[in-house]
Amino acid sequence: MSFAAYKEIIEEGDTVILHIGHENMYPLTVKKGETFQTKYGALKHEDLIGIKFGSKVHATKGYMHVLHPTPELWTVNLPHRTQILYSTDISMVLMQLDLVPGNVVVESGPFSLTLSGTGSGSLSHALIRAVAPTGHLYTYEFHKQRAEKAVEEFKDHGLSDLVTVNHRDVCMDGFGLDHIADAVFLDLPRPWEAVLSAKQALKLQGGRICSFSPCIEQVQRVCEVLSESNFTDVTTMECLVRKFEVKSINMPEPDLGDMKDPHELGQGEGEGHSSDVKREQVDDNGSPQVKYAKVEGSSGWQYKHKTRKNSEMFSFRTALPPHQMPGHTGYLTFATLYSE
Amino acid sequence: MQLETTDSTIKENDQVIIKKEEHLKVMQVRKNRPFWMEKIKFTLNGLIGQPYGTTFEVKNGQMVRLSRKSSEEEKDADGTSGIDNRNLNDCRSNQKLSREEIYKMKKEGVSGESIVETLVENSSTFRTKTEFAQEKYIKKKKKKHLNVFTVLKPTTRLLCEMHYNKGPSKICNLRVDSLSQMLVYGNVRAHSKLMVVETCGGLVLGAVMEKMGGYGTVVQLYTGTAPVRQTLEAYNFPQHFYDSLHAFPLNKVNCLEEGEIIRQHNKNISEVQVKTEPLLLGNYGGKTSEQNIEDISDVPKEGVSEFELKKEETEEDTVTENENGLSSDRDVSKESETQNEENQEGKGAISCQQIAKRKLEEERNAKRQLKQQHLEKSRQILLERNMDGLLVACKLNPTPIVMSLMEYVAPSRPIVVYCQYQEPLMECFVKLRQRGGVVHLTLTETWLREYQVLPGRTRPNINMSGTGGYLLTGTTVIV
Ligand SMILES: C[S@@+](CC[C@H](N)C(=O)[O-])C[C@H]1O[C@@H](n2cnc3c(N)ncnc32)[C@H](O)[C@@H]1O
Repeated sequence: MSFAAYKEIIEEGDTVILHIGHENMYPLTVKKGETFQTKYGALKHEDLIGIKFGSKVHATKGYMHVLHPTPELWTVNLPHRTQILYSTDISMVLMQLDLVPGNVVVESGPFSLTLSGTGSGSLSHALIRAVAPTGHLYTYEFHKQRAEKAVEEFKDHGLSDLVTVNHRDVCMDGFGLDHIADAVFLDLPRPWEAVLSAKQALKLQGGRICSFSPCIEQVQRVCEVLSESNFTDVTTMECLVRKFEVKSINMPEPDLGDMKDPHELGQGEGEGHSSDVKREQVDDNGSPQVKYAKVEGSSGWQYKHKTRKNSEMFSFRTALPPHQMPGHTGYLTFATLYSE
Repeated sequence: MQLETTDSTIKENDQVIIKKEEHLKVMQVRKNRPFWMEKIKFTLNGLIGQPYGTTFEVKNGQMVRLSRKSSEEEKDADGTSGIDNRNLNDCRSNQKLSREEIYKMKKEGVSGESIVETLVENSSTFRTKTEFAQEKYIKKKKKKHLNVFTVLKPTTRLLCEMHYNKGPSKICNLRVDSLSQMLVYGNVRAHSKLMVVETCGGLVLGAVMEKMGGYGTVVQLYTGTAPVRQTLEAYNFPQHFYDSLHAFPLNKVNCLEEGEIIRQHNKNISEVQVKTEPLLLGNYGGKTSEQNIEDISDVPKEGVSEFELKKEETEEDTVTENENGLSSDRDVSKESETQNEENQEGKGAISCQQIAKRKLEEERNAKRQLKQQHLEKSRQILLERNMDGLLVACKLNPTPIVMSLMEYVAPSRPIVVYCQYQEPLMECFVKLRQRGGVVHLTLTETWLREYQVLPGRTRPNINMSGTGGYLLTGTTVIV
């Protein structure tokens, strides 16, 4: 299995994403003899082997789809060992760090990048994709179990050749890299303590750095240290995503009683030059639904309308934002180091 | 080691980004080509061999390389705290020097430094300002009148920023966060095999190609006679990147199965060619074959080929939009005019003409064949029906495009549709639901806010962008 390339047919040992329903997915490593319990009943792993990614599979009480993993699907399905970065921030990081497959800079030796800390590996998967096939990711984690778990996961995902996991405290001991990185990403509680060794890791021709911090005080400190360390173009931003639900809405029309003749209404306002408009709204079947009478009065435009039947509806399609959504993930600070 | 320097140093004919304050502009480094900044004429010759990221100042018509340190000192100290400005009236008449006088000084070649000095001397309020405010005043004036700029390597990040700030309508209002999400949700990477539909002048296509690093396949489905790809030039992609780029006209998608139609299409194109070929001669040197073929199908105007026209247009609008004192020469159009005049004169000699004619004929045939081969190749790629994804960012209604191109996407692959309006994506969402074959359909919008981070004065920026467009994403499945 490899996250790094698509394959057509599912084999034993592959990581797959079971799409059970809207916002309802599970990651699964396919092992012969095992079954997986879903809300649609039991699914035999064996039934997945030999079929195509994207296929419909049947559990005892219903069906679901089995998807090829991508860093994005992994991010929303991975086992959390820490707080993680989500795809909105991740996409900004990839763009702002100017990451490209190694071969764009193949002339300047291996493209590489350092990252700390590894955490749950959410960002790591996307970073590896960005620099593959000729680049490399160096990732740092001072928590032993997390580092080991990450190594195991990258191996299962066929990414071992593209990533090196270091069990190391980067604030105390630095990255231990000398001018080989094109970009550095920091997701640490005290990122300013890693800025100087980040500078040491970046290529002499320069590079980009990003620090992700949930709190503004961290941003403040890291920005100061970045400027002191000759990083320039320091910018801090926040990126939030709003997910919409597409819905058809039927709004009951109000019953405002019988409508007077619009001309009468116009005169009622005491206007000599009535420019009244009568309009009919027609529904999809071509039958008039609601009658509007637009009247220009002294207080601007007014609408007087009546419904034919009390049961008439104003129907429309809309995209509803959620009632509650994440209002903050973290601040992203980016900066450039130029040569010299 | 040698190679290392080539990549990070500016070379002749490189497309570079000139950054002056917050303004970005793409320029090609050409020897002896005149360049204007703040009314001062100079050439970019001095850039050649310097590393990217270098900052220069223009002094007496010469570029002087600034050290990192001194250019950093020019950095603006924004902020208003700590100033007691009760006696300050914000009024132009505080400055005795008129705009015309400043303009005249610049024209006469007075250095930015002395202009700022003169401005200070002629400011009636400068002496009444606090020390902090005086410093700020000088910095502000220096920023405006000193010719300091930095040369950067074009990247998607910078190109998107440049276009979004300059003319967002030309890139369908595609903001950098939306573009970055298109690439991420499209799972764009080396060895991808993607379909791209865009009317963003090539920005989305360029971004996709940049992130694929020359590995894999891209089929651009275009409207009109030829794909528009001006922005691609700015990327300095090596030739082999273009080998993986294919094109196919959208208006032939419905009859993709029928090979005959393609041949017909080519015939029409070659008819256009017959009429216009003489004028196109000689304008294609050094361009990629892919571009050559595409350009030919456009009817040139007034003796200037479409390619040159496009170039001119882009330059023109950077000139008109320069609030920043950046401007470029018009030598490009002059060059091509003389070239065309020479072509006209050549008609005098009959035998020469005949030879030229035969040559043209051969060239035309070769080009036509090449074009046909390319189209056929694109068609074959699509007909394999195993594309790794579809990315759409255009000003056309996306639903029909998505509905007809979906069948060429393999199962369990992403579909990413960007639109600057929400309603077309709602429609697309509903149609895809009805059709089936897509799961994890998600309609989103992102919000991007920048911050000023300064000791004691950290806050969000006063202005922010109100919209970066909408995104519909999903994953194909077998029905
Ligand atoms: C928030 S998590 C990173 C999550 C990661 N970006 C992701 O998307 O999955 C931060 C990680 O950094 C590690 N860490 C904190 N300080 C460190 C240090 N000084 N050296 C190395 N790792 C450190 C923590 O153990 C933790 O796992």
